Amino acid sequence: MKRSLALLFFAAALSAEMPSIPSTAAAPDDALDPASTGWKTARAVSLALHRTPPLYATDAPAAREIDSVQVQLLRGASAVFVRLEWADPTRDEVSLPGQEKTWVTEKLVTPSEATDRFSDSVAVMIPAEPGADVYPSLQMGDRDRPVRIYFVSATRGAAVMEATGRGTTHRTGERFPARLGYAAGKWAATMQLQNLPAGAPLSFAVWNGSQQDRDGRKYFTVWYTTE
Amino acid sequence: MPLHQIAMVLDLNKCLGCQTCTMACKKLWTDGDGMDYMYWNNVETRPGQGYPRNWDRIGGGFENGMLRPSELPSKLDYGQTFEYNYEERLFQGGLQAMPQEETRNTPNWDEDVGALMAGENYYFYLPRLCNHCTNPACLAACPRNAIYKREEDGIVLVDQERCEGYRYCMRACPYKKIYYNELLGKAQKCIFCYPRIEQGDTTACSKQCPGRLRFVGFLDDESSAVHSLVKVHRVALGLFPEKGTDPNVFYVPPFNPPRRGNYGKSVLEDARMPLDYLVYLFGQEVIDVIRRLELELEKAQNGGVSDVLQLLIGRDAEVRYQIPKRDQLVQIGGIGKA
Amino acid sequence: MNHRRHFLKLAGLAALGAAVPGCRKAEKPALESFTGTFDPLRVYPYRSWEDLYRKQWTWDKVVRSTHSANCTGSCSWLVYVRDGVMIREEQAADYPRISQDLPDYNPRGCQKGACFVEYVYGPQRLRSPLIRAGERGEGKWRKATWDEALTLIAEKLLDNIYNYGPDTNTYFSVIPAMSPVSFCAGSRFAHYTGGVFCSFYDWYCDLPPGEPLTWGVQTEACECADWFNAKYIVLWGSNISQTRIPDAHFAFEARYNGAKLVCISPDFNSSSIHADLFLQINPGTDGALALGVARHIIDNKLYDEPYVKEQTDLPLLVDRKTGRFLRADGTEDVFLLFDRKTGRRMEAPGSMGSKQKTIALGALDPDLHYSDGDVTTVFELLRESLKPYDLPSVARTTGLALNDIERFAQEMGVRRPAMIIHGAGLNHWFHNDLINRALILLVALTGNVGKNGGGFNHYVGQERIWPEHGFKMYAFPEGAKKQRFQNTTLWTYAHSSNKDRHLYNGKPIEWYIEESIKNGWMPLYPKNRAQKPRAMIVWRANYLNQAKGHEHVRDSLWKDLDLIVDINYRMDTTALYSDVVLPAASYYEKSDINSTDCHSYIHPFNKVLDPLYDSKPDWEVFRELARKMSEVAAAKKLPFFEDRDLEWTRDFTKTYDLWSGNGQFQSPEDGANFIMSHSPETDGLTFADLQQHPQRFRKIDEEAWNSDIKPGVAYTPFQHQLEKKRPWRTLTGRQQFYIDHPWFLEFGEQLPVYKEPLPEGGKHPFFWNTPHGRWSIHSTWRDARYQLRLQRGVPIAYIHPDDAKEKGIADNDWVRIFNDEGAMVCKAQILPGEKRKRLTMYHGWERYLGFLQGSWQSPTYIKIKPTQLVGKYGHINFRLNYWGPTGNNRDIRVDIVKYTPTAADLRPIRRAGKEKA
Repeated sequence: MKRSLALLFFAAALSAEMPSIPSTAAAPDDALDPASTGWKTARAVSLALHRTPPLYATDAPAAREIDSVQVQLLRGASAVFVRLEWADPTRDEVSLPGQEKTWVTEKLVTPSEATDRFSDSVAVMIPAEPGADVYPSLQMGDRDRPVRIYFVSATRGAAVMEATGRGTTHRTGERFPARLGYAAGKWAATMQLQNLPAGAPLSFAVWNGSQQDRDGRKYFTVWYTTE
Repeated sequence: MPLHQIAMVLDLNKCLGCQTCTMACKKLWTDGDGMDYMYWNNVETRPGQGYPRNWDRIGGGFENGMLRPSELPSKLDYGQTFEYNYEERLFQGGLQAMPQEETRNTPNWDEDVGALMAGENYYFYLPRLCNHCTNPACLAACPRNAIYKREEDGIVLVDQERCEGYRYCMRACPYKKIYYNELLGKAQKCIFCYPRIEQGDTTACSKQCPGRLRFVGFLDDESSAVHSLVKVHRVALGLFPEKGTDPNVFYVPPFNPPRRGNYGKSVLEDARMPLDYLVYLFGQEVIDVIRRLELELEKAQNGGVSDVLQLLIGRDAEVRYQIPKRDQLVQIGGIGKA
Repeated sequence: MNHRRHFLKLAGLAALGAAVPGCRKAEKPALESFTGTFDPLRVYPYRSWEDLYRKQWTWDKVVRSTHSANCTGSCSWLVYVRDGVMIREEQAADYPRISQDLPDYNPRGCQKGACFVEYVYGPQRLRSPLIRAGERGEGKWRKATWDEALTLIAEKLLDNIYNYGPDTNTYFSVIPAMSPVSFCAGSRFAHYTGGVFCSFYDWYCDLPPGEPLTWGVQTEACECADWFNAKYIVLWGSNISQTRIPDAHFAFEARYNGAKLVCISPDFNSSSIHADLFLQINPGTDGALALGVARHIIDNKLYDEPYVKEQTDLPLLVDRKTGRFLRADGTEDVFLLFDRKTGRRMEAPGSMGSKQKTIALGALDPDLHYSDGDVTTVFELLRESLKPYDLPSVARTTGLALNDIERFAQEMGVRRPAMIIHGAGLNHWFHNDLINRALILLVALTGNVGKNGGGFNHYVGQERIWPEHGFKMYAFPEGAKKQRFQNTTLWTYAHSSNKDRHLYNGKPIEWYIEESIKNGWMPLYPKNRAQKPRAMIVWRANYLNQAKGHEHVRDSLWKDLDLIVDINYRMDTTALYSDVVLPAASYYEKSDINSTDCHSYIHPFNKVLDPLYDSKPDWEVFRELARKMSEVAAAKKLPFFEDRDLEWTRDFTKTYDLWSGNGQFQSPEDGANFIMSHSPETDGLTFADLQQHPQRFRKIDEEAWNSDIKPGVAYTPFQHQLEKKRPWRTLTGRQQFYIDHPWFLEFGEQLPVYKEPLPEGGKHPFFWNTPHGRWSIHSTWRDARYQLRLQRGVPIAYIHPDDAKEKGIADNDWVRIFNDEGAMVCKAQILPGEKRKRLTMYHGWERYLGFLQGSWQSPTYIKIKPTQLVGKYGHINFRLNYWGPTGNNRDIRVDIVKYTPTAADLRPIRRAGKEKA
């Protein structure tokens, strides 16, 4: 294979060194609303974002346009709510064409408007099998340590994925409640995840569409744990 | 390597530029949501900008064994897909019927243009489809392994379930023959009409070609026309061999008539179409192929019989297509056996 | 199929032992299998999704049908239906093979036929009867019932008949061969109501007048498979790659079989690219080239002497003083030659007045070179008239290289069989008759006419209705004498503000027209010259859009008409500018039959689905109109109408009975079966037989055609003359290059000569060239989105880069093209293959689409050539679509300037300026 994947230096990290994310406050009913008062009081941490190296040896390294993501957690009765906020001067929310339908035989079809635009997105990754002392690879887990990903695209909405290593990501078909909003140069995403015990590992990723981010071309954090 | 490799030979000296292949493909495969701008098969005038424009100059393929991805073409690079205000104009007393955007580029924008050399025009038509390469750059580029080469016939497919629309394949393909369906978020491309091939029928683009310039069969089938043209007569060449993908679509290279006042001279002498241009497209070997084809033509026109030209006449479908049904291939070729 | 098994066996050995996982029904892989470690070059575990595309190649029903657009294709298609909707077409590709040596006709069809379905469901489709609610052409309508619309029409037609005469009702429909039953439905109606039936083949300038003049036929060409038999093919004004898409392969394959291919055209076009010799000729100088070649052939004695003596008029004697043929005493139609054996002037056999019904010379040996005082041969006169056409002079006139034309002339003389493939490129010139005759001369001198692989083969328009006898009986049951036929060029000129300002030998064209009418050479309706045409019914045609002198027609003739009815499946320009529009079934919703001059088969239209929306097949539309005529006539208690000119007492309450043959014709299939069973070509065939596959014609009607259909042999005309020595259908009984009609003598055109193109439309620097192209069949498909997306979306005029530079025009600029007759605004495309000082726009654009002003026909006007008005000369008599003035348009001159569109111009472009860069 002539592919030049240079991402293999991301080994699984040990939990002992992980900082934690405060998650003590109880979620109000409107926790999915990014403007909910619950979020105003929840403690926030700012996590550093790292940039993945170029996929191809011939690609120039991408600029680091987004420094950090602010993370908050709220606990509900049977779910955890996450709010992520990060500054991104370009709003790469592709409104999929739909208004200008066109006829083909008897039916209407919708054209593609662009081939070269990518959407801003965000994701939370957790180990699919809790309790292991070794965390999965940040590169979408690995063969023995699968991961579960809560992914929200500004264009296509929320989807749950699972993976056992780079290139294995696949959609489970599940959906989950999430919201994504853009205001004043910032994205704010709220996501309703499965219940997570204290100390559960989490990592976060942000894709910047204007930088052609998709797949492993993205910003990511290392593993953190819930309080 | 697959067990068998399907292949196509296109005789550019028979191509009319009529785009029946383009339309046949369009109506069969790319008439759905998000596919408006897609022509898995297109015909472009060469020299010219091509579809998407400048596809041959922006990169793709391999260099020293490494992928050399290009930038992604924009939709305007592929070409606009016009809508018209017919209902208003014809039935509601509206304004003149017009495309609803200013016309700036289409997939066939420079049809019949070609180029001038010393005051004389030259061009030819180049029908293009996925080359179903032996070493596909798209496949190499896909981080998900969602592109694969079918073992029974070497057809290269994008898995429409596993593709996530990352478009690394589009950047990697030196022929720019993978398209992005924005509505579905999937990469899509020519499937060499595998549902038809599996039934022993040839592709829509070849079957519907009124110029009858396409030959389809298995390259490893010594009795096939494609084998004969590529391996025995060696008159058919792949496009951009230096891109390292080892394409399985081959072209019988084009002649143009002699320049003004040159009737009687060889096409290699003071040619209307600069040979450099053919070398650019098909590699150095093209000179030898052109020379041999010219000799064959001369033989035929002086009353002789040329075996290779008789084959290229392709009198009927049986001469042009040799496609065993898939169940025959499966039964005898071993596919399906554990 | 032996080689097949061989391959499979080898393949099996090669693959022996190869372990391959099942791929047909892979279950959803477990999570752990998503390892990404497999090599997709060799194996892929998730192939169950492949059914996605397999399902896309499925259908519920397939029905054979075809199209009726006058393209000469006559291609049999299969239409695929899924969930009650026509989804796509594919060529049936089952024309039976003529012989093992000849390439077959499959697959027959082009990119346009491959998506006709677009029109079936598209926004242009007419869905219900419409009555105009605004100005003509405005596009404002109110829906009507069939009953209301038909009543309106029937009342108006009857009103015209009784008050102004039946010849104020005019009927226009083209090309019966493409759907004769649909044609006949209306022609029968015109026939039984006394209406004027207009011509189309001459009007569209597709009729090559040189053929009736030289051969006494309308048009006779070989079927295209015969191209493969040639050893020399000259594409002369015919861009087969664009205009004969299903047939072009025969020419390129003939090249591989030993033919040389020559392409003569002013532009380096889609056919030139594949030629052995390309002659980029100055526009309109083709006649000079042909005559130069003719001189070379004669000077170098390359002509086929026995053939010329037997098959042509070249041995006939002419009196130099009068310019007239020597005739046997007391006859007008028996001619003389000088017999070398007896040394005497003898009667030439086979002429119209000759008692010998053969052209076999028997013991005669005509002297081609005889000369005695004022008497000499046509051959000698020809030789003299060819003197100016030495090849160096011809090279200057034509702009061609001497080397190229010397070799061309020599090859034309020696390579056999040689054929000329001729098309609209040349035929649309004002002097089309002279050009035709000069070209025919070449293949006649060399003995190529009547031979497989040879001849002058003209293809423009699907004019040949093979089952002609039955067609005529169904179309005009009481015969031609009971039908008002009209040459449309003359009709349109006479009834519109077209004005030809040229003088012909000092006289205006009106003088020649009046002479012609007075002499009974050409008819002009209404016969009462005080009347104007009042009603016009158009079906299977787009009269207004395609009219030469388009602006004049709109300004005058169109305004004078009180009722314009268009029967159509789509809203074309004529429909848009009509008063009543009746929705016709599309090609896929009706039954009919189809044939062409390009091949020797007949095949059907079928109802893929029942007529959609509120449409009806043309046949039913006229049936209902005939019923309505009867009803209205009865309700109004109209008296019998004495149609004195035709000696016909008309009872309009019986219109339906007459139209339906007293109930004989209950369906279009009845019409098809009637036509087929009354024609030798299709004798024994029924409509049902056509469902299997296209059927080759069986034998021919000797009244109509000049060769037999032979199994295993491609059809080529004039074998009866060559092999059976039957006289040609001309005054002299020979291929007649000398026409001694006084008007031909007056204009010095008794022999083919070269005359320069005329400066039509004023003194402007560019030729205005509107050839047939690949993207439409006339106006059909001009507005079809699938086609437009592969062009530039709007009408384009091609201009040479140097001309563009001089005019300050950039590619894709808006431009104004104009002359003294009219103007249009369209886009320019810079095309290096275009000839300098010529602008080209492929024809047929609908007036309502893409132009900011005018249309492609705006600079044209109608110009009648006086010699095409003659009649009552042996074989030269007015006959519908056979002989009459052609609506030429190639001589038009224009100028071009860059145009800056106004905001108002761009208003219809909704998103103008709004897209991103």
